[in-house]
Amino acid sequence: MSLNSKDKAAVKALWGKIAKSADVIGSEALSRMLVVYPQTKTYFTHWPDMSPGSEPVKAHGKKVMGGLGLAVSKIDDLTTGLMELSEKHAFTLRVDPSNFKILSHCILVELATIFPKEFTPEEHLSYDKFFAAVGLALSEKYR
Amino acid sequence: MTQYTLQAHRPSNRCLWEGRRVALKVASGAGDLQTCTGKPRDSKMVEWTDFERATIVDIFSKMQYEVVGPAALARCLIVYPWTQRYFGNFGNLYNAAAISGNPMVAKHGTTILHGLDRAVKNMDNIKATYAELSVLHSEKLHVDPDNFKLLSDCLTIVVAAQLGKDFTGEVQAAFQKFLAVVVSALGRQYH
Repeated sequence: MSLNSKDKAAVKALWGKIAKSADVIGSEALSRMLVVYPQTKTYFTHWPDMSPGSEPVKAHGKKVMGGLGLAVSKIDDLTTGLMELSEKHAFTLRVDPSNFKILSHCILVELATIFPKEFTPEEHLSYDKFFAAVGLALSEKYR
Repeated sequence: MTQYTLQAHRPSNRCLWEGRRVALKVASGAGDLQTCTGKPRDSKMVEWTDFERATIVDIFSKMQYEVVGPAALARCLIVYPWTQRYFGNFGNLYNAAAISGNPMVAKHGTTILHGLDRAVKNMDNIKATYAELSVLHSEKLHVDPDNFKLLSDCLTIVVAAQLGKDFTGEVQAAFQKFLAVVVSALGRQYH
């Protein structure tokens, strides 16, 4: 289920809009994840405040969206483009890859709430594939 | 030292790892059915908070079935095209536009969504409520139960688009929990 040219075009098309509110989207999606999937909080116990919209959550949401922006720019070769991030997730952060699907789902839900008209089934399809491909690239260095 | 073993055939009211230890407690007269935390539990009940009940009832009372149902099913057929395998007689499903405009998809989407009504009305016994539908999906329709999760995800996205800001994390958690219980009940009679 690799990304075809239609998927890449769809991802880039909507990313233009997403980038304008990236910080908010990142913060909201992360907040959503921490509430809907409380087991994900286990990765953030070092934060003084894990509540939705808190400073650490906002800062981290921004970081995540920055990573996704990088992925969009490297969409033609995600494995190479995200190699450094993969090493970070594999050796330092050691996030279980099942959580990539969880966060992806929360970002998709956030996109649906913020862009109800633009997040058509076709955009949903391409973004679902894109996030799966990003998750795969991030898992590359795990073992 | 107490040995904990993975119990392949444990009764569903026992914790996976604690089964034997709890069994020992029961044998020593500690009381009736117990969970890992030692609290008694009616093994049939899913526990719903007041917020969860109110949220589910609220979402479905305001639901536009003829909009949300068709949108959710169409989205599922588009985003996860392999789900089209169950709709060979639905005519033109060749592309997203065809699927979104297909009247059979629309009709069936509405039917599916109304199928959730019985869960809303019987939140304290969803398992029994769906026993018959579970048999139908397994024996007659031969639907891979993984598909229930795919449709649930699409329904969540469509409802999120409808409710916008009101679809908070807490509302999403309640909605997804509700759908997970329905999905579990639908998969129960498969063998």
